[in-house]
Amino acid sequence: MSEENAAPERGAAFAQFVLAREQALQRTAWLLTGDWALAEDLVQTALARAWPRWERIRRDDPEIYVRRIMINTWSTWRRRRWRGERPSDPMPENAAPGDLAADTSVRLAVSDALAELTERQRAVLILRVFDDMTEAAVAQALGCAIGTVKSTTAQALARLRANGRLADLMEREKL
Amino acid sequence: MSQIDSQLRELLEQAVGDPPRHIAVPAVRRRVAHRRITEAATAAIAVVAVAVAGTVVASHLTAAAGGGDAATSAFQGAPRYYLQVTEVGNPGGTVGGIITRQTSGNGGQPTSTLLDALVIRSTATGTVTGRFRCPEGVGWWVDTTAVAAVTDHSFMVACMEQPAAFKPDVNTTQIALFRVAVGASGRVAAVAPVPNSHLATGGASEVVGLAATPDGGEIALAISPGNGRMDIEVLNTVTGRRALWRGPSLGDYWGLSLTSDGRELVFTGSRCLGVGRCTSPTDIMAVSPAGQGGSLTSARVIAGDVSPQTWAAVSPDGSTLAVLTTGPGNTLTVQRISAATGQSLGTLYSRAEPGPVSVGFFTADPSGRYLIVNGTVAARAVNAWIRDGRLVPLRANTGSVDVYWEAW
Repeated sequence: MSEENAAPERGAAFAQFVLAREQALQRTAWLLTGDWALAEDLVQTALARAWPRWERIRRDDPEIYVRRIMINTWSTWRRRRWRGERPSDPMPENAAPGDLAADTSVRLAVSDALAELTERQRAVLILRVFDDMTEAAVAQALGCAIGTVKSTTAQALARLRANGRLADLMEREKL
Repeated sequence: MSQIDSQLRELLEQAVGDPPRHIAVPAVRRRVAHRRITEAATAAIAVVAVAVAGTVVASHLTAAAGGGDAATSAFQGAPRYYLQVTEVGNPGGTVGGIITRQTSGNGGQPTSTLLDALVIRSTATGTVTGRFRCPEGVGWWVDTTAVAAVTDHSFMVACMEQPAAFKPDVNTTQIALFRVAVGASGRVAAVAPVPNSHLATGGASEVVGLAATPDGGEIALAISPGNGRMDIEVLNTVTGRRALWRGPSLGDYWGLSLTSDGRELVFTGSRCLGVGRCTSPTDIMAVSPAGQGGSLTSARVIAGDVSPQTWAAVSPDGSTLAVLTTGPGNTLTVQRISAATGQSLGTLYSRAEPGPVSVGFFTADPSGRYLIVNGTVAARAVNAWIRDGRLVPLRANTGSVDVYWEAW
């Protein structure tokens, strides 16, 4: 295929990937950041960084590659402790649908529990459990050995089990 | 997956919920264009030194032989000031002088992203000589590409208003255009609303590109309606007549430019993007704003099958285009081509770069003679204008900034 023909196909593949996966990527990003605005920013940044290499990425597995960029970018942001965001307006008092108290309780419990994990534990757990990636794919995304993924997942789960609030919620899920 | 994994996943799903907003492809493309430039560390100077290495040494000697203030002489003839859209890289900065954009925050709490500060800079020194804020206040913001030079000393700016209370699917509630006049000292001398330019957006639309004739009579807007499509609307500010060209699904259009009489609107983009049976490459296209609008897929092709990183700017009389392309390999080329035949009339800049080239934007001044190139070359930022086959740096001396767009 000539370079000219490959170019629009590359653009189309990228656009289709963004449309198909942006919601899932944002959910993963929320679990990393705990903030929808930061999650959106993180996904946009990861996609923008993936685009120049898209020709190579799409031949492999774009999902893994983009998540790898997301994790690395998030890690950098945490170290820099600045993400260009700061609170401004007061909280709007909008009516919320559903059981707001229950949702908030789960959200806070999950956020707090994830915050107790190390960066790597958090990333491994989210990719392995939430995104349902294989151990091999997680290892590829994080640039580590499969054995490291296994041991880190076990450590992360052990730490989460020790979290009282989360354990209670999981017990309720079982019922 | 073990039972505990399943339970945990259920909880994570429950905690996450649904994202409040969708991420659109044009937004990602604009993000690609954002380039961090670190002037304070003289990186820009180093970049340009790299960019021009290997070009005609004699031109350096000529510049040096010019004597006196070499920096000033290098800018002779170019517009004295340019408008720059930046994101201020100082999280502790004050809100005053910076347009903030409201986004969703944790649990729906609004947060502000420091975004899109419009500054006027001296071409020769990079000094900020003026600032612009959308007149209505903090609810208004300027998109990164919604700025265009009109004449040597005036610019057109699209201001967009966000809803007072955060709404997940509403980007803007209204759009208004302003003409900004810059005085001899580089300060904002006057700001005037453009007649008939108020647009009710229906919620999702954003202006992502802008071009105007010198008299401000015709204005072309690239509008992203928020559903993955991009349309182009041409507005006659005297009569209020509007013509809309609808783009195909996933279509993307950039680099709008108008002839001075407003008879031709030139832009680059993909008529369609390889979806289904459509495999159109990137083309330089034109439509006649005098028409009634229609579909962008039927726009007249000036040059087809061009590099996906192509940008074009039409000359005021419409006879030629300045065209930036990349490839083959890592070559960055700017040529003057005939608008009638698409044939090359001469090369303004060409160099095989030492690494990948990623173009941020390419803009021309109202005369069509002075061209700004922004992007990255071999992982280094370039923000410069073309003079005698060389890239001359556009300096900005206020520390680290993200350059989103420039017009002069």
